[in-house]
Amino acid sequence: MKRLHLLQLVGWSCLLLLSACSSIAPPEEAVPDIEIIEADRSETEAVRITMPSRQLEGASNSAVDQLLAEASAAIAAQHYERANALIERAVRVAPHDARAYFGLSQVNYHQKRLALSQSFLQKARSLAVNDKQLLMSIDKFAERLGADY
Amino acid sequence: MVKKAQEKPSRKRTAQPGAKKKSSKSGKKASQKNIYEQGGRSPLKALVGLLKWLIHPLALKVYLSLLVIFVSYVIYLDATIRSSFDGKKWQLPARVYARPLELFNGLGLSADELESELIDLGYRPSSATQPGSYYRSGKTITLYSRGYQFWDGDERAQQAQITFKNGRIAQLQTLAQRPLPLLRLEPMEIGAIYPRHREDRILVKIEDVPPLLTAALLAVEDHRFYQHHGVSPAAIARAALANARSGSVVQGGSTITQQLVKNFYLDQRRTLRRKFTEALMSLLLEIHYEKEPILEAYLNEVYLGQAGARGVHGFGLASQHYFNRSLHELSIEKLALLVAVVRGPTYYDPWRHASRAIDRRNRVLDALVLHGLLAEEDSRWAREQPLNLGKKSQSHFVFPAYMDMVKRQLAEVYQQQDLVSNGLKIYTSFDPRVQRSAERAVQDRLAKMESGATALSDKQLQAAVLVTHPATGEVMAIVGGRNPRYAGFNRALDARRSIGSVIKPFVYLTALEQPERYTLATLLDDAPIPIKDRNGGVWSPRNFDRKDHGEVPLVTAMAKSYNQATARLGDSVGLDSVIETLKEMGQQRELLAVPSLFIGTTQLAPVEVASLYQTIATNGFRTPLKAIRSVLDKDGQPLERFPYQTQQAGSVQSNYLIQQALVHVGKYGSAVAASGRLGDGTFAGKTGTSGGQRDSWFAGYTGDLLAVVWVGYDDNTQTPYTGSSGALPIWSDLIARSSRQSLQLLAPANIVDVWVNVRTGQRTRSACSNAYRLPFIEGSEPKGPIVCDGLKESLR
Repeated sequence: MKRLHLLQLVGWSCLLLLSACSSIAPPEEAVPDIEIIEADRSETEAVRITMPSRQLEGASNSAVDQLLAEASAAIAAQHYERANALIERAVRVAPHDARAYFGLSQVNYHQKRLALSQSFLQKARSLAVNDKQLLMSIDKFAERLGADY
Repeated sequence: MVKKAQEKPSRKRTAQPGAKKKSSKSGKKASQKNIYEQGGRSPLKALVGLLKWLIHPLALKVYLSLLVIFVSYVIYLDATIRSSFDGKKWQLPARVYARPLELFNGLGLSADELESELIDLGYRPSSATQPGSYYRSGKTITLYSRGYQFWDGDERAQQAQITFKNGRIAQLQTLAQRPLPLLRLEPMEIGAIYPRHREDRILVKIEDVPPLLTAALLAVEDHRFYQHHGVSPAAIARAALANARSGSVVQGGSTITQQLVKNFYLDQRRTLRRKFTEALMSLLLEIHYEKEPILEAYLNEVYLGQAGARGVHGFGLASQHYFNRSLHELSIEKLALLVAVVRGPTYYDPWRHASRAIDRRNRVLDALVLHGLLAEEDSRWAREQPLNLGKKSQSHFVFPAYMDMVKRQLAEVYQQQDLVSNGLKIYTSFDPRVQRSAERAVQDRLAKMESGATALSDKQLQAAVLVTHPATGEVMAIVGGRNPRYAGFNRALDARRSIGSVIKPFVYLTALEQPERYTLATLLDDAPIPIKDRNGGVWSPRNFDRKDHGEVPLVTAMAKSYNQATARLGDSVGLDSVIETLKEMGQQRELLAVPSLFIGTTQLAPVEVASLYQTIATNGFRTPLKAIRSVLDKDGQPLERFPYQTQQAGSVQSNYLIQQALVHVGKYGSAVAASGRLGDGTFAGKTGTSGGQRDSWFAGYTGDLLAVVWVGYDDNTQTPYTGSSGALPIWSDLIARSSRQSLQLLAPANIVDVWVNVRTGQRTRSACSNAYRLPFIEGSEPKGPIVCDGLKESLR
């Protein structure tokens, strides 16, 4: 804010007083801003996404690897919504990559959306038929999920 | 003072004889003098009387009252100014964006398609040394992305080289030849949700505005901006003189502050009262705020053009509106044009009055030179430049059917007031390439149908298309009718029509959920069947070709869309079970429980059909369709995300079997025409034709697109088309142009493939006649001997 000399204001006001009084309608009432929804920051143990190499036709493995690595870091930092968004990008790049669905299962587990976590785990299992290493990880996680679900 | 006043008349009186002589010609003056003399009243006396009245105690009270009123008014104006200037100044529309194009090795995208996307995003074809530019050399595109703030993090501006081969990205790398796993471009704006007054603006901060723009603006509109206090008496005097000389209003004396106050707080009337209020408010504004916030508000408030019904306000949006680029990407002559338009956006409209706009722009450039802000040489160069306007904005409201779905999804979370005022940024899964393909497919095919040998009536054939990603359920494109620009009835979301055989996979799926009773090889009787409905009536469907086909394997009955076999199967598994399957697969509305549901008298909208097929495409994982991915506030802070959700709706194995049956529809069944064009086994889908051929449907998917197409008349009258001849060609066109990934069905666990004779349902060998390799849920495969061409070979 700025201060103007009072005399200047009075002077200008006197000049303006010569004009007729007028009135204007008050501007429209401001609408309250929308509340920002915070991501879940509850203290839960971070689980890293396992990333066995698996090539899929038509998909870029390095792109998926990068996205899953970033998601893994986001989970470790408990930025679950961000992790979720990153893994969704991986699903768009490679819709048949079981690792991405396994990642979504884990993120939803951290976000306490256990039913959704269970669904994504089933989806991951249905796609990981030939990947024994990933199936083992899925089974291990399923035990933990089953205990909590 | 009173004494002096009293003396004045006496002096005048002494002078009167002489005066009388001089003015004897004027009878009027003489009579006035007589009046003064007779009544003892002179002008001086009257003035004295007035002064007496003016200092009368009662008059002083009046002054005081007036002062109180004035002060109150000032206080009121002051409060008005501060309340709106400190808080949110504008109602900002919610902006809706398409999906960002994500580049990576292997992505199905041609160089032409990427270039088209870059042009839509306002990239300049140049040497790719500035953000927002690109360079193409044959099948290699070098670009400099702009960077963007996404939900999951910032995408920085970077240079990249993309090489294409066979319609795919073969190599994505940095300019230093290092591999780049991913590169995300900024999303294209596809629409907005405006407040009632339809003002639109993109807010800019003064520190982000090119200094030359503000310098030019002040040089032309208010060069003493930093010296005056809101009102410039010198400017008013100059304007008054100029206006008096010309006899009309040719020059305004308003400062930037006054212009802001006029636009921001007042109406456009030119009355003395409004001018007074404007000046007073300008003073008050300058008392409370520094020059920078005032100038920033002006830069965002000023009206600079019209885009249809939308008012273009502020330089941020004007830059996009006229040049399809952000402010910091504009060169001198373009910045000067924006300043030129301030004086009269209609009069100097560069699209309609180019020469006027150029003249005015050049005057702005002159003013810059005059004030020492631009070198003469640079000005000369700038003056020679053409307007170089961007493509006139077509993006707004050109996808009304998709925007309709976005608004419906938003309405579940936000109040309308939030959407039209808070400047939300809404990110969708809209894919402009797929949308254009779908629109073109509808328009081309409908035009062909109507000009074909089968002359149609004067009614207009209609169509609707809804496209999703088969894995995520994200809606990529919607065509609501044959005129995709028309924001009327959205057939893709609201036209509930009989779906015909499109429903059959769900009847078969209900059966396949019982592997101990039904497999793809189970023989079904296709003889006519009378079925009793719940009201005691009898319903007996007939096949489309009016023939009976005897015993046929389940997979063939579905591929060939036999009504009699399907009705018999539906009756066998039960109407309630089939309805339960439909609910599990995503049908939300209640359906009429009548046996004719088995062959599709059920009325559904394309979006509902897409929802059901989505679940099949994801192997039995129900995935709600959605158009919106996330919502950010005006500053780019995350507000709301619509995460990918899924729920297992049935056995993965039985869904896999029905998917294989849907592939057979393309290979050997009613969609075989599409296989010729798209390739064998590249898609799965089902045709549908309602009774009397009133509706033509096709619902199908590849590896990256799921699309549902409906064709028919709005008045539900007969068409000459079946699902194969009406909707399927549109679907094929769309897929041929947009799909880059063939269907890849990955067999889940516990699935075995067995060669079967589809005439008999018996096991056979690949080399034998009628041999098809079919999948079975382990344990349900045919157990009998292998029979090749009627000869038993062995027992198992």
